[in-house]
This record gives sequence, C-alpha cells and structure tokens, in this order.
Amino acid sequence: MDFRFQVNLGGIIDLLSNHTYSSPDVYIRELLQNGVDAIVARNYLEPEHRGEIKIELSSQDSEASSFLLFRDNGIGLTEDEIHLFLATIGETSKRDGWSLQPTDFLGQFGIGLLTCFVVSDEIVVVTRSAKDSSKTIEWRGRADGTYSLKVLEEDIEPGTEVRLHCKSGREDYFVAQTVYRLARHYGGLLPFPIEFTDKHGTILVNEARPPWKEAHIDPVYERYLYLEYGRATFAIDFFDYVPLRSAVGDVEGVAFVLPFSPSLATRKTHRVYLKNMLLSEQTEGLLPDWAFFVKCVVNANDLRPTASRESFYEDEKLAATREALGQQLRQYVIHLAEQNPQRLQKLIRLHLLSIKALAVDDEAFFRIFVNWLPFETNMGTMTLTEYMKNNEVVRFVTDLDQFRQTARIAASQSLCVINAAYTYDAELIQKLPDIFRNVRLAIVDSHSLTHSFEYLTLAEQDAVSGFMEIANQVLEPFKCTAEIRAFSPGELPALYNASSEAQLRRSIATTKEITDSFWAELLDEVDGGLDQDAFAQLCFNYRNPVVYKIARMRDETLLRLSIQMLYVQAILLSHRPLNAKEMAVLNDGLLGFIDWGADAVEGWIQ
Amino acid sequence: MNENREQVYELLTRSVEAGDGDEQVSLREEAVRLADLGGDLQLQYFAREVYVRACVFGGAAENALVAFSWLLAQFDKNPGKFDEWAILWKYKWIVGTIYNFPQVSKARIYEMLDDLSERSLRAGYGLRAVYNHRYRLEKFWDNREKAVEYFNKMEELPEDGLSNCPVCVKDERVSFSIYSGNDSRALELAKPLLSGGEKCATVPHRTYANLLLPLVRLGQQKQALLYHRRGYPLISSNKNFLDRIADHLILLTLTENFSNAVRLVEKHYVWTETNRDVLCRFRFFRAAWFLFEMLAEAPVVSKESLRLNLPWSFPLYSESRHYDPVQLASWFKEQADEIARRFDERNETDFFVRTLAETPALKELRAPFPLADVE
Repeated sequence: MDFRFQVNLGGIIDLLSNHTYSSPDVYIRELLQNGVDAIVARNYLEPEHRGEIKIELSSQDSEASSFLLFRDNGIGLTEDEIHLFLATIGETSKRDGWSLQPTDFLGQFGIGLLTCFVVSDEIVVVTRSAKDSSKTIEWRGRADGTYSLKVLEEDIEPGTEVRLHCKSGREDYFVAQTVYRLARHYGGLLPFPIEFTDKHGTILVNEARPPWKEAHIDPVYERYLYLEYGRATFAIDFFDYVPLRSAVGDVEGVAFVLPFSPSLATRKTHRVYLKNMLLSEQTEGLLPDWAFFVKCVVNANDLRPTASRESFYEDEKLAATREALGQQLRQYVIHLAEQNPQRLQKLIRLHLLSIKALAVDDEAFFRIFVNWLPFETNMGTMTLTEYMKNNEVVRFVTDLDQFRQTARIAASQSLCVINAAYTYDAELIQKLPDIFRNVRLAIVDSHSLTHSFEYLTLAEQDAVSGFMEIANQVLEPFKCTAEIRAFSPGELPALYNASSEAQLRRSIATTKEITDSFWAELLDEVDGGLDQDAFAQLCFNYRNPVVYKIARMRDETLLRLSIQMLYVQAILLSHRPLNAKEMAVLNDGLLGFIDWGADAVEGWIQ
Repeated sequence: MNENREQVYELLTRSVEAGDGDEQVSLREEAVRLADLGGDLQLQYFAREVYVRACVFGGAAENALVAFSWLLAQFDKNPGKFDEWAILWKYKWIVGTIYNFPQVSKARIYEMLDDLSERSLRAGYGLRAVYNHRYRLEKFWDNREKAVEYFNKMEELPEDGLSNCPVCVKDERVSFSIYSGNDSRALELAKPLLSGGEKCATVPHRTYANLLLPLVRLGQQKQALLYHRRGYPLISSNKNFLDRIADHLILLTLTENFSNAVRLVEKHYVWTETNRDVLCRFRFFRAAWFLFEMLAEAPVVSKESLRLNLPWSFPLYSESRHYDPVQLASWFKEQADEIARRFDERNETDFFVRTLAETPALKELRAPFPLADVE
C-alpha cells in the first residue's frame, strides 16, 4: 500500500540536518542508538540474548550507487508499532526544532530514522518483531514524502535491517573508512559486538574495552594501558591519569592530566558517553571549574542529556556528580604530594593555576600545598613556607605596576616582596593567617616601602628644609609631594612612586590634555571623588652627591629648574611615558640648562 | 619599536588567558603603559580598547572611564582611523556605569546620554540601546514612570548592531519583571537562561542573583538556595560582581544560613577596598549591615562568640578575630549611610536613604532553611 506522510517531510529533514544535530555524521550515531535501544529492549524480554550489530557497505562501480545495510538483532517492530512511529513523526513536526527530544523508544526510533534522509533519498526498513510470531514487514520511505508498507513472504530472524542508498552529494559518508571511523567513534564503548563488512572482509569495530572496564593486577601495565588509551583517543601523550567513578550519575571513566596548560577556549571540554554511546566531545560542566588541567573520557548511565544531546542538563544530579569527581582529582593531587613529590613538582609547573584555584576554595588542600606552590618575588621564585622562613612579615603587592616599582626599591633594601598580581595569589596570601597563627601580612607599595629608608638627622633636615619647601611647591601642580631620605644605590638621585590611586589621578591629568571640555570637566568630577591626598611621591636620595649639592643651592631659579629636571628624570626611570606638561618641562629645562651652562662657562652675555 | 610592540602583544596574549578579573586588568594596564612609551597611536588605541573591556568586566569602572575618554578623544581627532561601532559599543558600557559615581553630576550624565544618542543616529543605528540605558538610569533615580516608559520604548524598537546580545536582552526582561513587581513572570522568563544553553559574560551570573529575593518573596526558599548554589560560583572570583554578592548575602541571612553568610563577608569584604564602584559598595555594605543586625539580635550570638576572619586592613580589625556584631552592624551601616547620602544629594531624591530605612523590614521575609538540605 502506498501512503503519504501527513506532514511536510522536506521541512523536517531540513530541520534535522540544519538545526538539531551538528553534522550529517550523526546518521551513524542515530542508527547505532536505534540498534542499541532495540537490543536493550529485547534483553529485557530475553535476558540471555546476545546482541549484535552488523554494518555492511556495498560499493558498486561508483560510490554514488553504493548502499549501506545496518542490521541489529534487537526487538524489531510489529506492524502496529510501525504505524505508531509514523504517528510520532507527525507529532514531531509540530514541535519546534530545539525540543526534538524523543521521549520513548518509538519516538527515538522515528527521529533517528529520519536523520538518515540527510544522506539517503530512500530508506528501506525490513523488520520482524521478537514479541510474537509476527510477520516480516518492509517499509519504504522516500524523501518526497511518500512511503509504502508491505508484508514479506519470507521470514527473517527477529530484528531490524535498515538499507540506505547514497544520495548524490553525500558520497563522503559512504566511504568504508568513514563509516568504520564513525561507528567506532560513536559506538566504541558498546558492550556487544559491532561488525563492519565491506568488499575487503569483516572486522570488529569495538574490539577493545576501555581500561576502566579491565581488572588490573600490574600497576605498571595498568598505567601503560590507560596512557595508550589516552593517546589513541586524543593523540596526546598525557602526563598522568586518574580513574574516575561516581555512584551518583552512575559514572565511570578516566581523567587524563594534560601535558600542557590548556588555553581558555579548550578548557573543560570532555568526551562523554551516555549509556556507552558517545554523547559529545565538547561536554562542559562535568567537573568543577578548577579542574581544567584534565581531559576526561567517561561513560554516564544516569545523567540527563540536553535536547541537542551534546551536554548534560544542569541539575542536582550533575552537581553531585561534579562534586564526587572533583574529590577524586583532589585526592590524586594530595596523593602525589605524599607519594611522588617529583611528579607533583612537574604537575605544579604545568598546572599551577588549576591547583591555586582549588587551594583558594579548600583550606585543607591549601594547608598541604602551601609547601609546594611557587610565588614570584623580587628575589626569585619561592614557596610561601620558604618565604616565611626568612621573613617575619609577608610583604606583597597586588598589581604589576606596583611590583615593577617596588621590586627595584625593595632589592636595594634587602626586602623580599611577593608579586601577587596573578590570579588567586593575593587571595591565597590573605588566607595564610588561617593556617599559621602568627603570620603578619602587609600589602606594600612603592610609597610605603620608602618608609624603610634611612631618615635624615635633625641637623640634616634643618639644612634641607628650604629646599624641601621649594620642591613641594614645584611638584604640587603635578600632584606630587617631595620626600628626602638616604638610601642605596647612591647613584640614584630620586625615586618616583605612585600608589594606584595616585597613578589613576595622573592618568586623569594626562588624559585631560587631549579631551574636549565636556570630558575634561567630567574627568575633574571623577577626580573629585578620589582621595585628594593621593599624591605621587618624589623621594630624593640624600646619599646622591648631586642631590646633596642642590639641596644647598641658593639660586632659586636654578633650584626650581633642577627639581623639575630630577622629577622628569625620575618618571622616565620609572618607565612611564611623560605627559605633555612634563614634556614641556623637560624641553624648557634642557634649554634652560644649556643657556645657563653657556653663560657660566663661556660668559656670553648679550 | 618592534620590541615594544612585541612586549605589548605578549602582555595582551597573557591577559586573554587570564580571563576577566584583576590579573587581566593589571596585565592590560602594563600593556597600555608600554604602548604609551612606544608612542604608536594605533597600538596605544588598541591596547586601551582591550584595557577598557578588562576594566568594565573586572570591576575597575573608574579606570575604564579614564581610558575611554582618551579613546573617544582620539577617535574624534582622527576621523576614519578607528572603528566607529567599537567606540559606540564601549560608550554604552561607560554610560551604564557612570551614574554609579556620585561625584558625577546629573546634568552631565544626561548630556552624555544625549551625546551617545546623537552619535548612534549619526552612525546609522537606532536608539534601542540608548533607550535601554535611559531606562536603567531612570530606574536608578527611582523615577518609575519614566523608567517604564523608556523600557516600553526600547521594546518597540527593532534590534540593531548596538543592541545587547540576545541573552542580555532576555535578562533585561527578567529584571524588568522584578522591577514591575511580577516575580513569577520573572522566573518564567529566566528559565531559558538557567538551563545552561544561553550565556554570556554576565548572564546567567547576574540572573541567578536577581532571582534570589523574588524566590524568597514567593516562599520558594529551597529553590532560592539552589540558585545560590549554582549562581555563586559564577561570581565568586571577580570583584565586578560585588553588588551581586550582596544579593546572595541577603538570601543567606534571610534563610538563617548565618555561617555561610559570614563566610561571604569574610571573603568579599576586601573587594570593597579595591572596587571603586560606589553602587556596588553600597549594596554590599547594606547587605553586611543587615546580616550583623540580624546576628546582633540572635540570642546565641554574643561579642565572645562571633569569630570573623577579616583582613587586617579592615578598620575595626581585631587580632583576636572576635567581633561584636553590634559594632560591625553599625560600622557597615555608617558606610552605607554615607554613600546613600552622597547618592541622594546628587540624585535629588531620598531613594537611597529610604532604601536603607526600609532594609530592616526585610526581616519579615525571614524563613529558616538550611543550605545543607539543598542538594
């Protein structure tokens, strides 16, 4: 009998190939899924039944006329069921594309079958149900929306056979290598044999079991098996592996430790199987956020996939699974710390960020890893425990600009300062008092470090007081104050420091030089809300012979000029660009000095 | 010259890997400094463009503003040299945070919106984005009538190149429903944002936070705590979300998960020292005040029994770590009061002072529900 679908099949095919699944590849996945479901259903009736799937590719002279046979020995369909699944297809079309989630066996069967229209213009299904002495039925569906149904004379073994004819333009999907690769890709973990046959003979698609399904006796061989499996799956020589298991979600598998730091974009995506069928290679959300140092292969039997079947639905079960898997990774790292410090060192070099992220959230973990995590200081890299051995106060800075400024001062004072500008560093340092009762912390900046410089004697202070008064006047328009101390190295005449707030005020002043009046006024308003005492600081070095001289200079014009020049020079030494005002000071100052020098040496007076 | 360029690019590459937050801001600030030293305008502009983005998404709004004014000035000075869409897009960010600075006058904010409006039209875009910000601004001053008017005006206009991403658009509708007093509608609208499929840099981060109080009002404490479980990890490491932390803090207080609430204060107080966004600070101070106010009333909590791990930079820092909840409450209240006064003075309303006065009434919503019972 010939029929016509009650729905626009073309529309559905278009929907399936363009909106629901990622590529035509998935027709193999859908055929496999249908086969698996049918076998599972038959096992339910006949527990002893051994399921198997056979895929046969017949290529004729040209690939265009090749066809694919896909046979399972599952439950098969009765005539009534075929009518039901056709009805389901009708239902399907009424939903929008994203909710094409089959809810039952027949629904899945129908939708799975429809995806085959993406590669074939005609689908032939020959099926016989295992339920009773039912007949063998042939269903022929065509992409133009017509189909026929007939009862065949001869009986086949219970099960279902799907026959696809390669559609023009889809030849790539009927190449033996492709079919074999896809079958292995999606069905590699299936617990019953999948055979693939082409003109060269028959091979088993899923011959090897994943390593977590094996009972391991020899740890060396176990390691070898796991790492080989990782190499075969991802073409990566992994650093290590961690077997994973969670009762919640019924998950098992393995986490491979990456031999490199993953980029942000590739972090946290894993290859995940759902009931042994590949769900996705880009699954997110399976592991805690900090666990971006591993790449997993896992099979989950009890998590809910999203409609597009490419990740899991974010529910409580997934959260509990994530927690359980996270615990195992945490245990692994702790175990390394106890048993294999050398490998741990390597792991830290590779995945410092991941480990710091965990330490921030987990005090017990931090307690162990405080001995291992390296921090950057102006005296080289060291762990916090090493640092605390030699320093009573933990001094740290929280941004790179401050570290650059303080590093040069601190070194000359033999002070060790930690650069805590990197993610998690400052947070971890702030947690030190939770672990070590008596530790003292200090956020330092270049400004506060100058307090450790040597003060001048009262007599010396007297001698330079006039100089300091003028210096403060000269520097005021630059939102800068003057200090004088004695410090090393003596060659350095003055040191320019700006706290981050002072630095922001400097940026405002610099930016105002180029903006129009509206924005300049706006910036003034913003500046008005900042700490008005946040000035930069120019700290003169009393040990410097030039400063010593200038501080006693009587000629006020020359004194002002010298202070301005020292100010500009100190800014340049701090590797900051000069703003227009400072540039003008530099130019005028240089010319002034040349003029003055010429007068003094040559005595040219016009 | 080339070496300078390479250094800038290296810092920028590292900054991308760092993700949103302090480290990214710091790395890009260095990149700007180096680019300025090199003096190549293109590179200076580029470095500042990405710096502005880092600041906006990393809780450094004032630095964003300063760098943006530089960009806009260069954009205007060099017609045709820089991308117009890109500067307008950033302008939206700036407009979206400018009123959080109480030192900026009301007139100037309106002038800024007019300027953005004119520039958008001149560039061939519609006013959808501008209306979106006019809505937010009126909402901020508590000018309800106008706010609703602008929201509706926005919804009437088609999307264009300057409108927000589709995910943010949906999130805006969620907030609007809450603002209009329709909590259940907000929950309905939020559904697609919370199922994991649709996200961007700030959604569903802020969506979760937004829904906490509506859920409590609807008596769905368990669901609220579940959203806390899911939403908090998204915002816990970026000080840009300080204001959203406040929402979580209030939820934990109302459900009497006091030790979890105290943990949030311990962990995030320090952000109030570095995040200069005054509105964010206000919301955190208010929530912390509310927590300690409740603790002060709780019979089991006394001066001796409250132990808090606050950083030594905290003005009431106690080496013994014991704090009197009454003192803490009043300190946080003072901070909030001071900000409320500044906002109201500028805004010419009493909205912020009133908000604070009404805060203790939140207690009526209290309904204990142990977080531990939420799987």
